Amino acid sequence: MEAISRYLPRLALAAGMVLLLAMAASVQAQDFGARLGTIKRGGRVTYEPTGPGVLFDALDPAMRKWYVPQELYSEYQWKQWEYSNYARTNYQRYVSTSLEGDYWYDVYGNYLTRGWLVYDWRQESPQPFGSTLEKSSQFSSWFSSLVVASDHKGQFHYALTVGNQLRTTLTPMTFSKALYNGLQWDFASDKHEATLVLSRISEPNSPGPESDTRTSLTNLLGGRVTAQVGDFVKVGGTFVNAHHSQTQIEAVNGDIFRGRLTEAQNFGNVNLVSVRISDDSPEDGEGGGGLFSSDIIITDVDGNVLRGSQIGFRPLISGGFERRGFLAADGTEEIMLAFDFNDRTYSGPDPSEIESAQIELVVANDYFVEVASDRQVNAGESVVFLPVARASGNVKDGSNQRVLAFDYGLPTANQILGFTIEVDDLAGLEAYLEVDVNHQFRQYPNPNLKRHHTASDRATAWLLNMSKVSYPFFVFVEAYSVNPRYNTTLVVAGDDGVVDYTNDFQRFEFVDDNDDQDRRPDWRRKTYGPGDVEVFPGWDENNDFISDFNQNDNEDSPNLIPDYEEPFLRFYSDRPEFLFGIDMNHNGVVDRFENDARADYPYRKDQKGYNVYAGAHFGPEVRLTAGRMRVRQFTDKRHNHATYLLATAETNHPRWGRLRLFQDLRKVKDNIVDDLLQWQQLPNTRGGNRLVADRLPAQDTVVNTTWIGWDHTPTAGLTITHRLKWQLYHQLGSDLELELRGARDQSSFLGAINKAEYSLNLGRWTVSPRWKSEFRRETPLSTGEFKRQELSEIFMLVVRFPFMRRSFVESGVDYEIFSQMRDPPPPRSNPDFKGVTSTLQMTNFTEYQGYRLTTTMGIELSRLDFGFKRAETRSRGFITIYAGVQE
Amino acid sequence: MKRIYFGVVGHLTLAAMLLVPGAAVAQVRLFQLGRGANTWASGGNGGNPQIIVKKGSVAAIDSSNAPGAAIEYEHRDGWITPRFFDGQTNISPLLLDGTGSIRAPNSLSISTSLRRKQLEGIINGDHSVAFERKPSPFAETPAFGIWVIMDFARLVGIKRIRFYPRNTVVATPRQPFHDDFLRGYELFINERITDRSGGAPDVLVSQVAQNIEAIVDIPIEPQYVRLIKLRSITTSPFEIDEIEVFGTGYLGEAAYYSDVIDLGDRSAVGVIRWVADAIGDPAFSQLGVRARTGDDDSPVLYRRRDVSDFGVEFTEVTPEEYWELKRANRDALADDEVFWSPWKSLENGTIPAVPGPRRYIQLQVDFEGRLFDTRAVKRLQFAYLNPPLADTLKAEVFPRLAEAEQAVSFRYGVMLRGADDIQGFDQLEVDTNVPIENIRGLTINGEPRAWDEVFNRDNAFRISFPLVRQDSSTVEFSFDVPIFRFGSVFSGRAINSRFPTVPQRLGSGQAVDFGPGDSDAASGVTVVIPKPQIGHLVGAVIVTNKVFTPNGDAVNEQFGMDFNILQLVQPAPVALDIYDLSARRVCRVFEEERGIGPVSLTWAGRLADGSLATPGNYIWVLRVMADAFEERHQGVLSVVY
Repeated sequence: MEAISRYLPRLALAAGMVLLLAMAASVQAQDFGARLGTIKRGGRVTYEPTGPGVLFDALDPAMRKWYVPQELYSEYQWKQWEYSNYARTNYQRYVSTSLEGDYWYDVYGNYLTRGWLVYDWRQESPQPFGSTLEKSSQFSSWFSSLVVASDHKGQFHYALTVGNQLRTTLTPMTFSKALYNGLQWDFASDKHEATLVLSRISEPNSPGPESDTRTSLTNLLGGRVTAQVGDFVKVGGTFVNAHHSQTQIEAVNGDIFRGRLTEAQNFGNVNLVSVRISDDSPEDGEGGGGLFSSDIIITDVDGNVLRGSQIGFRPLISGGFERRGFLAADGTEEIMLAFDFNDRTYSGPDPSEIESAQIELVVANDYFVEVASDRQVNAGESVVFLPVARASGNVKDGSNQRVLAFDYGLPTANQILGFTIEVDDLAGLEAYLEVDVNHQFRQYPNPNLKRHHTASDRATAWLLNMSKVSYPFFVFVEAYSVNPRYNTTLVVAGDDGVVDYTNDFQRFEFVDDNDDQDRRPDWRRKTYGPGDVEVFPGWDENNDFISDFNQNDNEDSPNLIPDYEEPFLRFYSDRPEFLFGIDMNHNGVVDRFENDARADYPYRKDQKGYNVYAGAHFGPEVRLTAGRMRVRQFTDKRHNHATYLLATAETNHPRWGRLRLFQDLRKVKDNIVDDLLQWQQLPNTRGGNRLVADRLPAQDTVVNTTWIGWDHTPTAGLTITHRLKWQLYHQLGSDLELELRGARDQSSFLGAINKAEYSLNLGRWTVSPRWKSEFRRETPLSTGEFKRQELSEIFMLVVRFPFMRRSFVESGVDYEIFSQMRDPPPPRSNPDFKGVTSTLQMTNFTEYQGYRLTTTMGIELSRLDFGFKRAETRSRGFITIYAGVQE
Repeated sequence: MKRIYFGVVGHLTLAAMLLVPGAAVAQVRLFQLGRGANTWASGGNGGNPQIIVKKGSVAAIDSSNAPGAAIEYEHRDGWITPRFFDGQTNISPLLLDGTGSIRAPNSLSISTSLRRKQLEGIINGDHSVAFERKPSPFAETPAFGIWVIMDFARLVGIKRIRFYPRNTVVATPRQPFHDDFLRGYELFINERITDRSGGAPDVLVSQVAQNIEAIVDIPIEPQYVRLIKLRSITTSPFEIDEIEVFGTGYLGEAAYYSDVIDLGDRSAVGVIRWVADAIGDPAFSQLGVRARTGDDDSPVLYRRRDVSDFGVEFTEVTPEEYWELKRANRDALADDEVFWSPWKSLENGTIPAVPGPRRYIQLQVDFEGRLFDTRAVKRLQFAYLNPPLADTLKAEVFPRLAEAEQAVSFRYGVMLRGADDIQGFDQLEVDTNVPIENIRGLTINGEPRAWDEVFNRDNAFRISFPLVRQDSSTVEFSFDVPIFRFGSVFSGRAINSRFPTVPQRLGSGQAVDFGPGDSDAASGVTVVIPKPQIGHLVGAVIVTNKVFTPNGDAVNEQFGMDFNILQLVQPAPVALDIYDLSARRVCRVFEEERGIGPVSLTWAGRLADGSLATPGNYIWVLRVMADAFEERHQGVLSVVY
């Protein structure tokens, strides 16, 4: 038995060798013929690397120089020692052997192909510049930066995709990118699916013609596996990890998912650790972070543990208001603690012998704690503070006093591990549960150590959606909790291994902000620096990437007037104030039009809560819904509570037309701030994203929104449209509270739009009289803003008649009577006026050199009469030619 | 308008003290900034403030009291506010003062020096110099698309912009270029650096393609801007004599720095007070006052940097020497962290928590607000004493770890260090969270001495004793008090009864050796409770008369409860409710906000309507409704009669 166990490894080795030899024998040399290269001994061409052999012809004991057979002997029959005469056979130039590419072999020496390197990514350690990535010019030019290798058999499919701009989602909470640059391997069978994503996210491209090599880098590794369990349930697991890597350190040296300190991070010892405590809710100016005591626990490389207080080593503390027993950072005040290992009071281990340092603070109230060190610097060598902890709620009475202990370290990895359960139509039940655990790893730098002390923070996020339909009844439940520390970001290593914590362009996001769901992420981050400057979700229903409110704007011919104020165009375009929809975060903006600067998680970070509604269909046209939501913010004493009742009705009658009704009545208590970046076209601009602060209009409020739309066609050619929107905020707070907020107890918007258009054909002439009436009565929430009441009556007449074969003339008059119904007119609003715009335009269509030329020429005259001063006139003449393709 | 006055009592005390004859009285001095000779503009008549400012990447010293001319001295007599513009003032010259700039980045066909001179000429009121885009025999000088960008590098309120060529607003017959006005232009403003994707696109204020006005005057809705950008959209040659920007309202942010005030000698600084006023809505403005103290007259560290074979060497030099050095030999300017303290925020009416006694002090007043909402400060003052009571005063308490709620006997020691000329002290005031008990055993230098209790309040006590003035003297005594919170600090002040307005803070550190367990390194005035006890708001609840008989026989008449509130730094609502066994609340016995300390509650069995509770078992629920959570305790009581 003992002999068997002794010889077993040798037997296994021998068996393995035999097996390999057998396999090698069975692998026949690829038959590419002998057209290229020298015919080797044995008569066959082989491309496997074999090394030089023994040439028996060269074994003659002659002193004459041995001429190696010419490289292209078999191709051209050249012999180096023979006279070359090209009289009969003309000379032929050399042809490069690499015209059809180079020879490529795999790691076993198998000949792979003759061709060009397209994509090559490898990482070897321990060695400097161990990470090599090359995307050749063929990758971008031949394949447009996208290469797919795939295979399938039966129900099994897989594809390996390498691309610079992949749209990839694992789950919306873990990994969702509009422009993912890397490698994706997907597998799918009838019941199982799997995905693996890999990328060197610190530099996923090789910018120049050479391969890009690095020692310090950041890699991404992620994946998702799903399995169908039975007919209705699908379970899934997700893993995403981004970590720094340093190729001079052995890869198999601890848990690679915890990352490694980059060269720059680990360049020197930590000599100073700084802690900053500030007020997490500075706006209230009180109850900010309170510091009761502080200490540092140092562990040296030999495992000795030392408390700073034991040796009289105390931080230098600056800032903070002195209270009885503690320092307070109220409002904008900050408490700074500096643990300086070079201070004369420090008698602990030398900084080069410190393996870890733990900071221990006793804190209370609304604290926000950040940490930094002299090793935690950005590219400009400025110290950068990174957040450590923040108080839950807005505590001011000290009741949350706690010991906050954390290990100091520099970020090295960010990881999310999660699972999902999906239920699909189980007796009408649909459900989705996702639970994710986020680990953020950090390590204490010390260049004298190969393995560094690692610490981590954990944060969880989960969401649950369930709906059940049992006609005519339906119910929906959503619940979620996203910890404020849940983080899907890692600042990647730069060229020289510097991790620039303040540089957003070096920030890799697992989940992008892409509110308009176009191909470009909205924010400026790693992999897409320019960001998206045109974000107007919901305002581009025709998907032309131009705001629907300024449709005739483009780069070549900027238009600074929104369509709803532009003569003629305004008939079809109504003001954004007339939009309606659901506003569940109660910030005054319809949710589907919202744009923010946050990752697109399904639910906002730093919140937890639920929303549940149920209702019934009353026939196919009417639906009633009642619901209740409760949302709370983790880090502040803020909430969003609402109880609501919705009614929708839509009917389409052949005679009376289409009537739609939307009614939303809700009681709201919302003081969670939901600031937005909304697209606004301010006067004389083409529009841009502007910060729209949430003014918290519904802190204790009854909100009613009514919208009615009626479209009908009483007679052929006549189209009549009515829109009515009424929104009311009735504040329930006390008069004093409202006065302090500067809010009115009732704010409202009443808007009505009535439009009629008739199209009359008189022979070849088309006459279109139009009428649009826009009434607006607005009482803003803020007492600092003025009430408005305005009526605008607009009459238009457009006449169009063709002439010749490809031309027509169009003449129109747009006449507006504007009535300012408030006396005196509020500031920044127009007084009564009458305006008329007359336009005459000739249009021609011509086929020219394969293009369709559209030529417009015309003149426009406008007159604006305010009554109390001389009328203003404006004229415009234009000749414009557009070249397009035939549609 | 909310005005903050410091106490009349403080004035009277100070005045009375100043009138008392004797050499000691003369040692208390009053420093007032904003009054008498020490006007705000004078900065306090000390050494020039030295504020490190950065212009681009270069650090420089601003020795004015209001960097960037951001403070208004004259708008309101005797007060300072952020700089105010009345709507009639051209603020373009501000670009030349501080960190602002004016640029014409695509005006490339003229030399840099000439362009700089021309650009300065259009904001400095010099009507002989203009920014010209006119062809010359030597250069084509295109006019179209030329940008002129004014960056104030801060938010300034504006309401009007005017620009014009020479010989228009001001007659300059020698430069008759009144027809060379800008024939087409776009004017943009931005309150931040232009960043379209970052939510800060330029806002077009005016666009005129065919301008016929030589003097272009554009009204702007009052608002803060940082950038003003003028772009020509004409090919016609033009010139600009001046671009005038008319400011309005207050600057959004401003800081005033006093001079480095020389108190003559190391001095103890008493309570600092100031008179402030809110202009507009106080909710939209803030005022902050900070101080720092130093041992020398330069809060900035000037160092010469020499590179030798042994590395880089730094040598401290005087400011004058520093500025004479070659640029390569100047080390980066930095605050002197050795001889000067960091800036410390102050609260009105408190002793500044800055290191002392020191000879030099500097004050800073920070303003934040909106266009028409800001703060104003009239006077800032403090009394100071030199020589001080002591050069250093160290205090410590022992033990420094105590079980919560347990009455602990603490020993308190103070050590005085100082030269011969110090004043000494004969009173000590120590902060507490609850009234202390049983002060005893006072010794001075180990000798028992008589003492008196001056007062013993909820938050502090004071004792008096014979004057202690000798170097290395120690005062030691004991007292009893329970600890209710982690981080109970027995901070204190020493007082000389001859100069009661200038108490001197006790530093925390080694003062007295209290024997075994008293580590010098850990000495201080903070007492902590074991960390596992953190997180409880209510200590042990002691119930008396769990079964009681409210029948009027004066025996066992009421239910009682004693407990301690722990940990809180502000009072929180405390309630005691009585429920019947069906969980209906029958009575709210107590509801009041309470801070840390003992609480005693009783219930005589009476319900809310005054009737007696029926005999039976009830559940009492004690609740402390703190911000972070609600802590509940409950138990059963029985009413029997």
